[in-house]
Amino acid sequence: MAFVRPLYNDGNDLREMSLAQVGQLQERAVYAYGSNPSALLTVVGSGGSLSSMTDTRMQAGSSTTDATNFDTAGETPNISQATPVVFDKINQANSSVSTPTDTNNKLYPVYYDGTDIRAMSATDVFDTFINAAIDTLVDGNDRGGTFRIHNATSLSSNTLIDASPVFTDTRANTSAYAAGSIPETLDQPFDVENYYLFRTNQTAAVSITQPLQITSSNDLQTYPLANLDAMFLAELRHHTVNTSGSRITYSINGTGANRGTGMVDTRLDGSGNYQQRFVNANDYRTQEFPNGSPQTINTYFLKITRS
Amino acid sequence: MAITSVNLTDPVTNLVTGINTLGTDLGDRATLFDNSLNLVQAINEINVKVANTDSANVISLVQANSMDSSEVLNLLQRDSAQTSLLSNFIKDSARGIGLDSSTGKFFLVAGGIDSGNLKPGIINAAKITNLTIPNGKIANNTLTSSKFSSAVTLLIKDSAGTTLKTIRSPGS
Repeated sequence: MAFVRPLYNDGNDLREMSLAQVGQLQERAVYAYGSNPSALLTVVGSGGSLSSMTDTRMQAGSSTTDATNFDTAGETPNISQATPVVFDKINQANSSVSTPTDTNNKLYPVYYDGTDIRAMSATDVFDTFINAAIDTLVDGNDRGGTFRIHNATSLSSNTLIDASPVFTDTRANTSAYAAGSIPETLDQPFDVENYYLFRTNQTAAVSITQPLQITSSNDLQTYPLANLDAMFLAELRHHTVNTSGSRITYSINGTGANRGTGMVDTRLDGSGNYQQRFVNANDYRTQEFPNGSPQTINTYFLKITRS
Repeated sequence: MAITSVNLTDPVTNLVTGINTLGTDLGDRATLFDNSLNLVQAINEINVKVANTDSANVISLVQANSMDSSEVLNLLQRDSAQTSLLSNFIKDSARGIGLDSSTGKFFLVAGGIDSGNLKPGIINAAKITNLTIPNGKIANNTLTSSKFSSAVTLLIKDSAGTTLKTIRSPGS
């Protein structure tokens, strides 16, 4: 029903936790989630649920051949944008999670309600721990169990989801075009950068003050750490996929915080490199090759938010 | 027995017999406490003693026949078998009572009084030394919260508000 302060054994007495101690438990919940997240991203061949990304590049214009002289630049077809490559390979496929059961109404830590010692309800647990933990999970930092983008196939403290990149930035390879080779193949790109999907590994365990819990015999005991982690994990797995307003949702350039490297679509900005080739007195060839400096056309971010 | 008498016509022998009989009946004067008296004087002397009953005479009479303390003690210290009465006193260990035979004093034996010798309900708080009742003297499962000072009750409830356990404690 509300944010409450769990009780713990300070060695002599039962004591309400400080806000700092509650904060440690919230971080512990984040840690627990990293062991088995429920909001999951996968890499698919195509048709992923996240918005598609487009890689664009320039290609050479069509070549010309003239039997008497070279066509002028104006007569030679301009360079053009190659057919964009669409990347829709990121798919969010959450785990199917049931609502945790508060067995005998004493699954959760206890608190002092001003009169009595009482077990927290599932709502209390959400208001006290889970809500803040979800905010942390979606803050954009590397949180265990969340996903991110990186422009290499390895990244410390992260696990590569698939060796296939989720986005590749290509550009026209200007060095591949030569006047002596007119007519050049129009589209001669090279891979500028590959971007891969990673999942951040479970972070280091957070030291906490363990709260108290009601036992099966209705006594109080220090909440066993493994059980506490399991409880936090179950709650977070449930809320992050089932609870409206608390679901962890990924998107491409949607709302929320960036997760990892921006995926940049670059393209050369030149208007065309006009080239001539004299083959013989009856064969004058011209072609425009891509040229210019690479410019960022679009930057795609993997975003994380709660919704 | 008829009164002795002699008739004029009786022979002298009867006279002798009669006189002797009178002598026998009167007794020997020489055997009186004061044989200087005659019989009438002796009777009168007795009459004087009988009539002499005023308080001074009674006190004098009692004092003349009283026993001094040593005589009383001697009497108490002797029973009918002429043994010391003190020797007849005995201790009663079962009730924690001992006897100092040299002085005749009874005393309470240390640690000798058992619960059977105490009247139920007579030991009050004043007879118990403060802070001396150990835990072992309190029977199991007997203390209740009504004995606590400013008792405090603490409930342990589940998340639905159902009381799972009630804990009571002294409030200070």
